[in-house]
Amino acid sequence: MISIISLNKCPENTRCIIVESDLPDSFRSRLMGLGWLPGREIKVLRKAPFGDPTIYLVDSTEISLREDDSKLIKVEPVYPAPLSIVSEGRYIVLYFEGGRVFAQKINSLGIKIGQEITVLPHEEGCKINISVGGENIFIGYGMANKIFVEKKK
Amino acid sequence: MKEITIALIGNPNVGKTSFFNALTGSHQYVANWPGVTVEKKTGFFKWKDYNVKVVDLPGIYTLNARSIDERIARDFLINERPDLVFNVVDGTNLKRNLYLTIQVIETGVKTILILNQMDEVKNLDIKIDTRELSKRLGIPVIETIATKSVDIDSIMRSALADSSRQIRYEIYPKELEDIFSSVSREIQNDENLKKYPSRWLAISVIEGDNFAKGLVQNRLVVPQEKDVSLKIAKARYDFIDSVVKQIEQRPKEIWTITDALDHVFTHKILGIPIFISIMWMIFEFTFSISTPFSDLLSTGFSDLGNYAHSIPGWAGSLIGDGLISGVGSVLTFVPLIFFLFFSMGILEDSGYMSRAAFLIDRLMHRFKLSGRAFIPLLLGFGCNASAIMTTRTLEGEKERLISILINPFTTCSARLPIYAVISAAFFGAFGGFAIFSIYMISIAVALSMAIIFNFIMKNKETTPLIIEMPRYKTPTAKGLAIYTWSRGKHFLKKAGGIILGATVVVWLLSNLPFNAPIQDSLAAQMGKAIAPIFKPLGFDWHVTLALIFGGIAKEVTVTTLGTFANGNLEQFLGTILNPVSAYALMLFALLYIPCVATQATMKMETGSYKWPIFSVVWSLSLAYAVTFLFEKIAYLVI
Repeated sequence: MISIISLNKCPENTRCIIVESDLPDSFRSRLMGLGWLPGREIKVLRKAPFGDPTIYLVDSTEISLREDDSKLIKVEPVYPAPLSIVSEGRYIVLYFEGGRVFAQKINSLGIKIGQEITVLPHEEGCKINISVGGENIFIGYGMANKIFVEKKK
Repeated sequence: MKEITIALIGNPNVGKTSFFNALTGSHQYVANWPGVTVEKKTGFFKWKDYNVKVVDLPGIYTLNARSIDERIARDFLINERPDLVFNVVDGTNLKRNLYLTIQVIETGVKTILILNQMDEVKNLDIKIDTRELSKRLGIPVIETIATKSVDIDSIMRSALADSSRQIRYEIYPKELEDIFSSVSREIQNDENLKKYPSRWLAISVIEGDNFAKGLVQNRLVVPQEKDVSLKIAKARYDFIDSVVKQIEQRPKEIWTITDALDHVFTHKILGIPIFISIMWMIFEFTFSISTPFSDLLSTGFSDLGNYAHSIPGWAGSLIGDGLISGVGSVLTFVPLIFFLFFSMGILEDSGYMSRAAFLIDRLMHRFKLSGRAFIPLLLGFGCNASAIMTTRTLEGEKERLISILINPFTTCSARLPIYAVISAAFFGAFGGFAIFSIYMISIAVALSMAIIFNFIMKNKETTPLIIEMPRYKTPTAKGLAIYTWSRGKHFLKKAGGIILGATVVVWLLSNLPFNAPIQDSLAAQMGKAIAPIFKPLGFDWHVTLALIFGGIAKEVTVTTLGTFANGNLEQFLGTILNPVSAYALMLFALLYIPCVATQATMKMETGSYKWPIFSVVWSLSLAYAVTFLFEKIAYLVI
């Protein structure tokens, strides 16, 4: 199953592929001129203070979009992707975007690099429910943004 | 002599205007943010036996234009049919730039690719096979560094060389090509449409471009297919990808200086404090560095005035009171205004403008303005008239109108002499703070007006924010000199023209009838007739008259008072104002009516007299109300 999410949900430092957009025509054609087409890769670079707008990179052009607009663009994550945006399924933990303290905290929850985890059904906007080594735990978005995983083949 | 017309077309901020300056030897204003050029600019040069006319067009990403500046570029290309198009592209960003190139080639006009910013290409360690690129596109490609210099001779030679090379490459899949050629044939057979480039028109109509649809009306049967515009765009990008893959080598992502700077300047926590400190630094720098120069000029003019008074008769008075004390009182601020433009030049040339717009977009959003609308507002601190022109980049009609109407509330450089004179006379060490407070009020009023106008006009649309982040550049001395001079000379021209004229009129009015004491002069009679209206604000007839003449150009407020002052403006102000009414005058000068030049620009940009008239009535009422309230409250407190 492919997980399709809105672009505004993607945290910094993630990559994703454009699936489709629900934008008004004029805006869509403007973005097309900048290389924003289905099938192309976007990198989420930086969010402004207070979280909006966000700078995105497509090809070598950096542009900034508001959340109102980016939420109309549907994307699928490119792996490694942060745990916060992947859909249900089995994944392998690849790395953490964070310092040593963060890594220790995550390790103490039983999540280690190279480990297999299963993302369980959870409601959108809630904490993420995962199963690690047979144990169910809930992880907040802030943390999940920094745990990068890859699909288990 | 043969006449040819060359159009410069390209994405925003790729260096078209620099290239234009290099070709024609002109000094057009360039800066490092997308959308600097919003109107077409024409220049000329001679080469061999050619008279070449060069037209610099506003930057566009595609020919599917929406906003006014984009339409200007597209219309010129389609309707005026230049002999040659120089498509200026940013060599570091070929993929994005070539999209427009493909569209331009489709219009059938003879196109030359100007591969610009080759110095940056080298810095970023990118390698481009220019010859192969030229082969793949079927058009001449010329490398340039427009900010340094360009080799006009070799450019013109390859541009005019007979390159009847057939363009053989295929971009679109066969099923699309078939539709294009059938529609294109119909266009060629249509009396009214055959004057347009048929292939371009066919593709644009099928893409669903509104302008093209408008041209063909119902004359053609256009096959409707789902998502065809997407297929067309995709085909173009696939083609570009294959070309770029073949001709370009770029190193794997490297951490550039721009990345490093952005890490700090757009930082989540540090970004906004840095923005505020930069604004404060600009303010401080402008004032403290210009003060000694201004003081020097001021002393000079006062000595000159004393000397002029020794000329007997009316000539001494005209020169002493009118010209030197009047116009001189404004010329004193030439250093201030030049340093202000110099600082703004650094801001614009470095690439920080786009980052600032990004940082405070959230705030602008709250005031129902798009991040793009921030740039005209910031430029308003230089000159409202030219800032209003830059609103052309905004798509929504209402949003654009609102941006035009709030712009005069950002306090332009012409109002600075008023604040500076008053602060020096009344607020001493707190002068800088008094002026800074006026700037803050200016921003607050402009933003509040945005909310009010949005409410009145029921504006819901805002231009979606797409700001391109240009690379940071170190502003060059030459660039800054051109920038500061091209904007500052406007001030000098005004001083020698409209300000001088207005000052002579004021002098005449205050000296007629001859030999009458100033209290009985025409000026006094006029001022006294109107003064009752301004009495509640604590302004006497001198100030009243100065404000009325200040409507012509804001600096005239100062020159008029200077004419009355008999050589010592600060002392004179002390006799007609107190600190409260002095600050009230600063407030009033900030808010009341846009100057004549700004009104004319409003008329031009909105196409109707309604809006400048509305703006005058609105801002005058607002200025009166705010000033009145301020004084009432101030006297209660003190």
